[in-house]
Amino acid sequence: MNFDNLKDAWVNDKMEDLHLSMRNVPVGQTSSAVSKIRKNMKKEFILRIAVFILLVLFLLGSSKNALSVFLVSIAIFLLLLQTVYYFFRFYLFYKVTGRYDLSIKKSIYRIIYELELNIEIYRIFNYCALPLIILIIIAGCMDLTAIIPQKVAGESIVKYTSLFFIFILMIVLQIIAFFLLNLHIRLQYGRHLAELKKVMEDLEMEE
Amino acid sequence: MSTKEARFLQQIEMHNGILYKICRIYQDNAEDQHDLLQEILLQLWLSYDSFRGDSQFSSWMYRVAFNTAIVFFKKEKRRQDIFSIPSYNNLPEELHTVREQEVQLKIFYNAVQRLNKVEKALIFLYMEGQSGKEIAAILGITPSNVRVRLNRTKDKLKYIIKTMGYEF
Repeated sequence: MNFDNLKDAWVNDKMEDLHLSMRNVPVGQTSSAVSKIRKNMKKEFILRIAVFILLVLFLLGSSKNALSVFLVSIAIFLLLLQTVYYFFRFYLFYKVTGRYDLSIKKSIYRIIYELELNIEIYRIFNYCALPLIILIIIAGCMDLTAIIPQKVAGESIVKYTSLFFIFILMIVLQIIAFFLLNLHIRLQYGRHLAELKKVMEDLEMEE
Repeated sequence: MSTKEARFLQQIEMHNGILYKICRIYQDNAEDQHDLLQEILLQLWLSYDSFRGDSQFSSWMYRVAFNTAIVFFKKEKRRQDIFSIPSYNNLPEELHTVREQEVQLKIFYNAVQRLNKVEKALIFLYMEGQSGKEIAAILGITPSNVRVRLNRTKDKLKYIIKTMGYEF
């Protein structure tokens, strides 16, 4: 095989059989890995806000007493603040990520680093949000006065059985959430990250 | 259209062959090639402010285009287009050489599809006549590494072409 002959044909190849248009400056969405993740994040943010609204409606309809409404409102507010903060952070993060004018190695390295960092932040955000969500559901479904300390003859009495039940429930739900979250991350980012890591490994391979 | 847009499109027009070829070697399907071209154009436009004219426009374009092609993932599994290999038996004798080169190039494009993303970038830059030093700068590896990898990639290509039933 003579590459020099091929080079001549390569130079002379005007690609006339390819009908690709480039007459205007492109606008709209890109379909790069980073853009796809950004799009998924946007959808997830909208979904979370919708879940919040449903949660509030559900709690208003099933509130046991004023104490439950008070505590649940605070928890929902905290959760909302957390969600808005993290998603705004993700938005800023992905807006600046993916610089394509660096060398291939540097650019891929940066994208992998930023994706991995953001995955970790996303993981932490979900681990922090989960206990709040569990508390909101418990407070919405149960009578809080049955669990929290009661003043009996001047002394606080904690209902240990209820508390123990909540702890067990939280541990079980955290374990389930751990597996579900990892599965979700693997499905959402896994393929892209694995492919980019393969390219990086290939570039790092010494002769 | 603004002056910046007009300047951008003019520069792209001058180097459009590069973009077409990158799309062809990175995607095996016409729809994917079209999507990739749009993606590259968009990334070039978004990154256009970072081009300060210190290097050649084509060098800057290579970087953006390759980085985009490497992080570009297909929407779904699409049918692979195998470029048809034309026959040249019925052509006049004097056109045989030209036609033969065309046929060989088609076979080459088919074979390149079986290379990995880094090998595709390497062979593309080699075919474009870039020096080892320039290839090393675009890829971010050492020139000696480029030399070794390029030889390996050429051998791999020869082997692929042989397994496809061709030899030239």
